[in-house]
Amino acid sequence: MAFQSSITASEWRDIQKVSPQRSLVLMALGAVVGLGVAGYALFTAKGTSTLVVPPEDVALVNQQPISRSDFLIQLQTLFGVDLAHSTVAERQKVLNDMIREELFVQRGKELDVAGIDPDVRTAMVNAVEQEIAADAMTTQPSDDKLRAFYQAHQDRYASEGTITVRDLVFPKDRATEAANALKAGAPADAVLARFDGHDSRRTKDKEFYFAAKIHLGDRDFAIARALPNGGVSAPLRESDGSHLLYVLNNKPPVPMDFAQARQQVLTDYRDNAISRLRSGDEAFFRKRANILIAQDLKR
Amino acid sequence: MALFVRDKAVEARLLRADPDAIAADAGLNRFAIRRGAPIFRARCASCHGDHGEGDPNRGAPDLTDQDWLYGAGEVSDIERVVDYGIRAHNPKSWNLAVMPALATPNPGGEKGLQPLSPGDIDDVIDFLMQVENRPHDAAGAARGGVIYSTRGACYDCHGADAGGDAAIGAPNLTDRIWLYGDGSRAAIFQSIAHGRQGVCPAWIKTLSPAQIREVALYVHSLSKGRATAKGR
Repeated sequence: MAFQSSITASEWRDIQKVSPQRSLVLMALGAVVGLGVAGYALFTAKGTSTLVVPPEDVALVNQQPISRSDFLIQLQTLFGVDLAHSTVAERQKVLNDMIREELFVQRGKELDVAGIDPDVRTAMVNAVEQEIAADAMTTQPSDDKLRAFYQAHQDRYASEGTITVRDLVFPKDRATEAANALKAGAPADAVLARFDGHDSRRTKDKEFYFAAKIHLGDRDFAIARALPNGGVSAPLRESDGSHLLYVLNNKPPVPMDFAQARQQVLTDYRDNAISRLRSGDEAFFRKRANILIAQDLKR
Repeated sequence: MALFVRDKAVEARLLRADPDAIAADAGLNRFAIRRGAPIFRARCASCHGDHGEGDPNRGAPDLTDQDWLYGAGEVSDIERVVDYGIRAHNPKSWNLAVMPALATPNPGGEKGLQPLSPGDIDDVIDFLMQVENRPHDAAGAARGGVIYSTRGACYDCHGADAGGDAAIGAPNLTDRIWLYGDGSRAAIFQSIAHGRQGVCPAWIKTLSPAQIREVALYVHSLSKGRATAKGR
């Protein structure tokens, strides 16, 4: 071309002057880069059919990848070896097993196994629920959010109370005197001997509140819980005599501060998030689904 | 463009390599660690700390020591945790055992484990103190040892020798390294009474395979040294 000869290097570099040659070169360069990016995206996009096994996989079965990390885990699980210490036969066995599994899973989808096999259906429901929960796990809530949750549910975060209580049984006509003796500070065993009583042994040494509640029953536990150290209940009439609840030590639950409760708060916060996500997802599934209900079951 | 292509080629080499052998390839290891560090800071540091030092208040393990809760600290072990997490609701998560809350009415769920009394827990703590050669009450330790290996069912996860089990993430109770708290009686009581079940998210859907390997190699590099390689 005629103009080519007249172009000098300074004209090419001077962006104040129009240079058709420079424009053509830049256009060509742009086209090559664009094609490169498009080609890369085309051949590496998920689901793209390819003849090359991606580096993170060990095989593609009908374009479905078998991941290298799963392969290594399977190798370790089956033979207890890592890649460097495995034999060709071991690697081949694991790979064949994984390809076989993938083929059968794919065939299962073709046969719509989930439509007929209740175990597969249950597994699928569980898997989707787990998937939803997993999304909630990857988000680390800030301390501010956890503190807000802690403050909103503070009653949940307390140590378990402990109590040491004896359930002493006396003849009905002697229980009041026995109670007075205990209140006056007489040792329990001496009072039992003096007033023909016995220990029901419903409780054992120091117990957590929940255990004492199980052993004493709701009513008696509520009475014992309200007594201070050294406290004695009023006689409780039962078929076997009058019971006195004698509290040696009563340590009510102590509220935990945020630092102490943080781990539990985080667990509860996540459980709460998972529950909300599951409900939200179910609502979304229902909303987008076309559900027809038989006339006789419509409310 | 050339840098992008070069990085992609190194990434592919990184992914095809045996993860446990990469540390021996200085160039590849350097490449991975350089790229893994910012991923660690963005994804892991909120629990494990900026330098992987962990946080016993949160039960986040120290990643700079030689004590590995799951596996033997090989790159493949770390990568598995990064991939699938711990109790992360991923079907491939580590989720074989939890520390039951033994001060609750039903600590063992379907396993039928019975609750322990405050005195039982104190005895078990004395037993653990004895195992660690710390001051303890001998009679309590004797009773605690029986509880440990019978109705407390502690042996089931932590082993008859209290040495732990890295196959299920049960901590070693003899090494004075405490995942939760400072190893005081109060902190141990808290663990036994209220249970523990720490989690680590599964990153397989968030990070690319190359990023996961890079962060695994970065974590591997944080460890100041390691025990001998896992049994083969």
